[in-house]
Amino acid sequence: MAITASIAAPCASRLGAATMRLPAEVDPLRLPNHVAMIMDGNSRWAQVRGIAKERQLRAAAEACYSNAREIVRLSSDWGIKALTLFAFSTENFLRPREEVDQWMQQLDRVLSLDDPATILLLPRPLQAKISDAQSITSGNTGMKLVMAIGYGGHSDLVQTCQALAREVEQGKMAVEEIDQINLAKRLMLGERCEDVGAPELLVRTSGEQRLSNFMLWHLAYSELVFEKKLWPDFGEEEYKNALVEFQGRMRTFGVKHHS
Amino acid sequence: MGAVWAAVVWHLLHAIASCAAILQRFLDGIAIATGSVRFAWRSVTKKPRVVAIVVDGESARKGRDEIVELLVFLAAAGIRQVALYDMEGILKRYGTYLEKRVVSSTWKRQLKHDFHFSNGVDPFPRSNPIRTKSEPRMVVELLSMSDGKDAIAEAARRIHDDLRGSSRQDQLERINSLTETDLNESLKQIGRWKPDPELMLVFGKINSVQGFPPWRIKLTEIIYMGELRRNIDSSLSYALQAYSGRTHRYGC
Repeated sequence: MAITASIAAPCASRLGAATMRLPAEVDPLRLPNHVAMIMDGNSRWAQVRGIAKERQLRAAAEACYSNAREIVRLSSDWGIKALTLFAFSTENFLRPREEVDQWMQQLDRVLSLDDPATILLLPRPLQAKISDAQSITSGNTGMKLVMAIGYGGHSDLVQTCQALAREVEQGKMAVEEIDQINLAKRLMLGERCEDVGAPELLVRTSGEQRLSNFMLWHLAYSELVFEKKLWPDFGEEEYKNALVEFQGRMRTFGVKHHS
Repeated sequence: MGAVWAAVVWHLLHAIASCAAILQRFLDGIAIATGSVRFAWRSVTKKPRVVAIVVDGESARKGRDEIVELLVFLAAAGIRQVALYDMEGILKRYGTYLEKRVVSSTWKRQLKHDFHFSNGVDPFPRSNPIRTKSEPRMVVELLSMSDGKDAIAEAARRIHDDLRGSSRQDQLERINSLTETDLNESLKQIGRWKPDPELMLVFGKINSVQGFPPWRIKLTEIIYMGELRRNIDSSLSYALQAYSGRTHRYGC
């Protein structure tokens, strides 16, 4: 699933406030509209810190979502229009039950409804809270935040094909209308991020250099930045460097971003 | 005085590193020419079976010789299948040229490889059970943007075509139970299904998969190689070694 909510806009004019907080090395006129991140390396982070094994899962999950909140804040402050975070994949559900439960508990614990800028991420029994959170933030006009939970690019495409097949079966569209455009609209992030488009930049932490079934359709033309730091250590400096690298490629080579 | 010595030492180290790189390229060239790369890579336990090569438009237009060199290296390293992609389909137009040059280069180096180039659609008709005498040692698929998202749309239309003739209830049941396997099968039926590349090498000025068939890169290792240039054997060696040395954690 992909859960979308909007952040409350800053009080000052959006561009003015954002440029005041943006690092000097980052060009405000060439910011990517939409950034996606794969938050990888949390378990390794807990292991290298020598945290006792029985506490590693909790520590990893806490560190993950704690840093996610910081990155959400930075992104909003710097004027990014949409941020998509890959929190938990369909493949992650195949991990040992205890590990999955820990991640779900931490999601529930760390992200609360009291903060309008965040969303409660829920396993099946708590799905009602998702719509509550989205209702609370529905009036916000700031950055769009998307949390991809239990998400897989392949399954996203399958559900899209299902949706289109149903529409054809119901006579709402012709078979010939099943094309790239209609496929893109039915993807989980399709209509939610239509105003900001597909991510121009993907950052993956921990040194892994794969998409891992994340937004395979949307990332087709995205710039890829693979960061060696583990996710909990990916902070303002690293984020700035990723943006500088992105802008360096775009500026030097004048490449137009496809969608 | 200390600063002067530091500068001298730095320049000396830089010169040594440059000579080492030149020597490495020279030795790699000998290794390719003599076929010893094959033997070196036979001892590597983890080698990608399918490698994707993504090049930008400029590299596709101006770097045909470099691409030939790249394919010869991969053949010598024992790679069985290469998915060669450029967004605009420039390489598809030069498929015959690439094939002739690759075959000629490998014969000159006595590598004795068989190659089969195809333009994104399955080279063997699905209905033909008879295999050719000598199965290609390396299959080279030439791919472009039309083999990516458009192919998925075509497969989605094909799924619906397969439902025709069934009762409405059957159609609904089959739609509701659609799986990844069904989409794979549909891609096979239109000749667009190929094994996923384990490794992707991206050449050019952009580190992006540039529209490479998205269905196929779920777990593909992506290595950005920079601009395409001659004598890149060392870079390719390092990329293959980097792949074989990685511990792949796939979320499970």
